[in-house]
Amino acid sequence: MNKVPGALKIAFRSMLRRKFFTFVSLFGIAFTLLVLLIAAAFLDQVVGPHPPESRGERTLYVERTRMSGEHSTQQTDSGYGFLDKNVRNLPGAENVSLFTMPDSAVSYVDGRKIKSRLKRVDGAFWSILDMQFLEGAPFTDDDDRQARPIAVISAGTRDRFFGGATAVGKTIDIGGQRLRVVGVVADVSPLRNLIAADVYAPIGTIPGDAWRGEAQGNFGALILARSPKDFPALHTELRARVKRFPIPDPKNYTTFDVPADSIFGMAARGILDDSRSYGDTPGLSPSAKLALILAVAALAFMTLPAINLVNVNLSRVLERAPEIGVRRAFGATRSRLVGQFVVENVALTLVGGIIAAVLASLVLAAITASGVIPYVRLGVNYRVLGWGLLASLFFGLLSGAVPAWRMSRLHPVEALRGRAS
Amino acid sequence: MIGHLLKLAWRRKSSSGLLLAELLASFAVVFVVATSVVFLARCWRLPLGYEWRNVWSVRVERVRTGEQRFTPEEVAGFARLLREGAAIEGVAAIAGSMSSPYDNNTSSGDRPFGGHQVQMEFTEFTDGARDVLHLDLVKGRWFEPADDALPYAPVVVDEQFAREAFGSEDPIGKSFGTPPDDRDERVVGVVRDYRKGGELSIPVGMVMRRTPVGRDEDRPPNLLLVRAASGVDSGFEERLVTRLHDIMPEWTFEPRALEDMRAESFRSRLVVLALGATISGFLLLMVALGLTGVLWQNVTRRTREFGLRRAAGASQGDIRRQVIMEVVLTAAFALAIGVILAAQIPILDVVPFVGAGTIAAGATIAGILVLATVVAAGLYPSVLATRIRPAEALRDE
Repeated sequence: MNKVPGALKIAFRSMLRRKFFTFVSLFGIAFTLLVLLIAAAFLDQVVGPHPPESRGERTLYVERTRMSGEHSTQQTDSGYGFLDKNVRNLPGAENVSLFTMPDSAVSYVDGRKIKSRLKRVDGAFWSILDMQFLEGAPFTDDDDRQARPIAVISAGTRDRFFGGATAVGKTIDIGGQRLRVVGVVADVSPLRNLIAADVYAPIGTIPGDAWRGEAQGNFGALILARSPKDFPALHTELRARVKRFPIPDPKNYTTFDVPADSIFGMAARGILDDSRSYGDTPGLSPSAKLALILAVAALAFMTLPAINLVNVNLSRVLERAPEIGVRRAFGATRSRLVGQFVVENVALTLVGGIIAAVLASLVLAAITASGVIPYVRLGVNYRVLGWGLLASLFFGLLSGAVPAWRMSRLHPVEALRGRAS
Repeated sequence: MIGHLLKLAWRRKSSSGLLLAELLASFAVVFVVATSVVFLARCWRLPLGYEWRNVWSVRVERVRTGEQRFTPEEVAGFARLLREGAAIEGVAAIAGSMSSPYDNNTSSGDRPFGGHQVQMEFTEFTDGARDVLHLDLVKGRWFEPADDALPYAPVVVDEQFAREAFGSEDPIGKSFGTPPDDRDERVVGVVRDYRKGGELSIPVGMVMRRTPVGRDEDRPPNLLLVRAASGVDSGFEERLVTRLHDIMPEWTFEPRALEDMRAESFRSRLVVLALGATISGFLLLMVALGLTGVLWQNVTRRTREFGLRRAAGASQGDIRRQVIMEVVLTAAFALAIGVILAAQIPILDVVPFVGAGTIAAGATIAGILVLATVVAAGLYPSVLATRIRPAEALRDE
């Protein structure tokens, strides 16, 4: 089968022959794929398994709870009481961590205002996540139980409080508490909103103890499964436990749901904010719905560039009518010619894809360097490239099909005379 | 001439059809961006209804005990904050609220009034909010401490809500219930349009509820709105938070100047628009390049036709006009379809808050931009067409 290499050779020769057309096509393809690649890089930044969530693919996230009644529904984060009794000891899970969603807290150092996101976490948090420690070490479950006033801070927080000097052993005043720094971790992008914070303190340091019994509050949990295959069993067990759990406000509400989601499902639930997606309601899951919406959006975005490329390609076909006529006259079959054209178009899109990948990594590096989104490290990785490749192929086939069909219908004699219209 | 050009376009209807689709899609993209720009520019000029300078919004983090529950200590604590906070040096006025201008806490809903659904946003204020935000009362009265004893819940609405819900009737004394709890609410006053989201937000009618402070059954607000006396120094914010913390040591306070929140809200809204404008600009450039290619090829293929016309006495200018007019006609057809589709938006009331005038302006701008793109794309190929020498063209067989 040396058909494809032969077709590729013709493809590149015809690309070089008409430089303007090639430029126009490549411009459209590269621009379209550039936008898609950047969008994919952002999505990957939100839901991809990046450190510190290196085990994200086998992690389930619990955050939102929902109560619904006849007249109203109410959604809030989970409470410590519920999670401690029902999630922490979930059978089949390798490890479970509980934590609060970050609260903002303000400190003043020498008259400067420092805003921090303060998160309270348990000891397991540090073993489930791959936080990169620049200084010191994490605290333990024992520190949490003893409510020791200590904290792990981010590198950015170290800069803000101590001007970048060593922080371990020093104290920070935050949210009305004085905490001793025991460790410094690399910053986590705020796009990972479930785990990102500036200051991490043990849960035990939360003032008072009303939070210990709550079904609903401002807590969340990470459930690390041994493998994603265990997800269904974990879901079933959690659902059974939620069913047995007394409804926190039985006067006004009749159901209580606490879903566990993959990281994509979590993002989907947050973005779609769909209160019907809880419990055993039929229909698409939030992740399926979000995937569908993203696919439709990508397709809609590709429409105009695709029509543009079809138009340019049609012109190329007509222009090359004499060549096609010659090849038909020398016995090339229609399907051979169609194949030739589709290969040419896909080759062109792949070249465009390479240009787009190079441009995308430049643009993403510029966004990262500009600091618009703090601590984010955007880039084109193999997952993003994979999606880009898929988009290129789809785009190439889409925009090559109509012109190829037109090409195959050219009458050899007419085509030879260059009369195609 | 136009009749002749139409006939030519009809003869190439399949490729003209694709061009038509391309131009229609371009029109749609530019139309959406242009309409958004016009819409935001119009919103920008509408009055805001409050005065944001020198105001701080302070988020009060109580020790969390669930969303719906609160203790008598918390209620008393919030009352102390309002009472003692007013005495802090540099504080001109202080109030509690459920949301502040430019923040992301929005609660909204709709309910039927006089046969049609009226969209509204809610916020809750304590009695001091009028002095903090300099709300401009146009009718009735503002909340007062004596309202605690009323058998109904007093609300103040803005003019837009009054207009949309009650039309030309006097809104004062009107009774209605709003979800989710549907208590009996009566309008006691009307203020100028209050646009919580700021200058670039969609105007929505506002319903302001009164939060009583100090009674055990009432949920305390989670924000303090503080107006500083004019001429406070840069240390005001830290002094304020330190003093608030002295009053309630268990709680934490996160201050933000409305000025900063306003800048932040502009940034986040304009980034989306700038992104949309950049992408559609590139799409338009791509369309222009593509059209140039298509027309170029079209012109070189029609050498003999142009040669014949030149031989029959057509000038270079005639040929150039023909090439440009052909593509402009296709574009005009696409734009006509686009305008008919765009006109359905106000007719079917798809996006109620965008007026017909805004849509007309957006469609006009989009039409002009698409036409300009088409003419620009036709320029080089039309010049190319005039280079054809009649004699050579006719010989070419």
